[in-house]
Amino acid sequence: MKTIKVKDIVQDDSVLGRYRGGELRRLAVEALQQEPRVRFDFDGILLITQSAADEFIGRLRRYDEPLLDRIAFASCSEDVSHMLQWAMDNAFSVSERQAALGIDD
Amino acid sequence: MSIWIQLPTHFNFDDLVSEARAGRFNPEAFAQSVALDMSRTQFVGIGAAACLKALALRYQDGWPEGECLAMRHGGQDCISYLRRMDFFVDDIRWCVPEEEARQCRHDESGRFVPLQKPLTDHDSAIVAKRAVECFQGLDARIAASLKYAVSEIIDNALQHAGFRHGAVVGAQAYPNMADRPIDVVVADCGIGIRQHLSQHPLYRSLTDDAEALRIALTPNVTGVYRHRAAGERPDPQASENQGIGLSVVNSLARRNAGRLVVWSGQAIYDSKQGIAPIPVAWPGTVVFLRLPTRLQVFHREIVDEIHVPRASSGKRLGFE
Repeated sequence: MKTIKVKDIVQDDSVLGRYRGGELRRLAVEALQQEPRVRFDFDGILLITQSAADEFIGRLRRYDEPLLDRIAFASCSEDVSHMLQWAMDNAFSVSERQAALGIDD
Repeated sequence: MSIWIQLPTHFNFDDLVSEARAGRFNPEAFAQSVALDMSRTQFVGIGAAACLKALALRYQDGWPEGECLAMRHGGQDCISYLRRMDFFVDDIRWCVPEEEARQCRHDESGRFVPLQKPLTDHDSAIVAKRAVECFQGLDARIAASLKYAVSEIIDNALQHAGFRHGAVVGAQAYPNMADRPIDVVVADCGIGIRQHLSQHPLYRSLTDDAEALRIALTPNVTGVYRHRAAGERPDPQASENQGIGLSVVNSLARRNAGRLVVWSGQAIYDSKQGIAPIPVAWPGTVVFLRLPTRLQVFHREIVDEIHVPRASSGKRLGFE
């Protein structure tokens, strides 16, 4: 299984903003074209913002959900795993909110 | 022939807004060839400097060829401050000799970050990190929440504003004040919040800037939309992000006795006062954030409170 060290990609202890999240998503998609599984190693990462997590995980869930079953997440701090899971759980919260308001078209 | 704009004695972000409310400072004036009269000005804050620079960037393309931005001043301390903040450099055509602009550069560490101009999404993380690092020795958890907030507001400007020059960002730390705050200003002269939201079919009929601000501060609202073919029904699931960035930053400011101000079009939001109309429009969006560096509530707790999925799959990611 290919391992991607997140710290090597972002060159920092934080994954900030949509650009960085999109970069991780693109790397995941690219790796999964070659390999059955990919591991993201978050060692040394203290923070991932909601927008970065949504761009990475939320967007995969919205458009390519089966890929998420082939991704492993290693060495996540509690804050990082929490935000990644938040993005997973909330991938459709905008549409849920709109539905709750009775707005569906 | 330039129009002289007289700046007041004290000119920080609040002064700029007060002048705008009183109709004495109109951002639209920069559409013509202007000159800044700072001869009476004794103090300029980072927020006002960022706003002036964004306006000059926005409008200088329309100035007559060869025109530069003149300034009248007495060489007072605030002019040295502006030089240190890189106010006179970059791609604005200032009528200030380059050697004069350079002479006051000095070590920036510890208190402030000179005005930055992130242009692409890629720059957002770099500038956010730099802005927070102007306050050295922060606890890691506090630094993370500050970085989170700053990154979100810069990201918003770069993602949504469509300002040709990206955004102008300034940061200043105040380690000697009681709550040791950090001020961050992100000014763009792009499309503004109302026009951004109106890209989404649900908000297409939005005509009021105050209503647009109210919507933008509500969690799970976004103008980012994957457009479908003409005539197709809009699909709420085609919203391309979660739209919680600004609302989390707002809660972070409010619950830590900080302050968030957002001025876009003819409406302004102040976390201490609410939303109000303003007689002159900001052509884009300005965000001013003051956060103490002794946080009591962190971004994670705030994000958790927005966590209300009803249709969650309940599926766990593959954590090892």
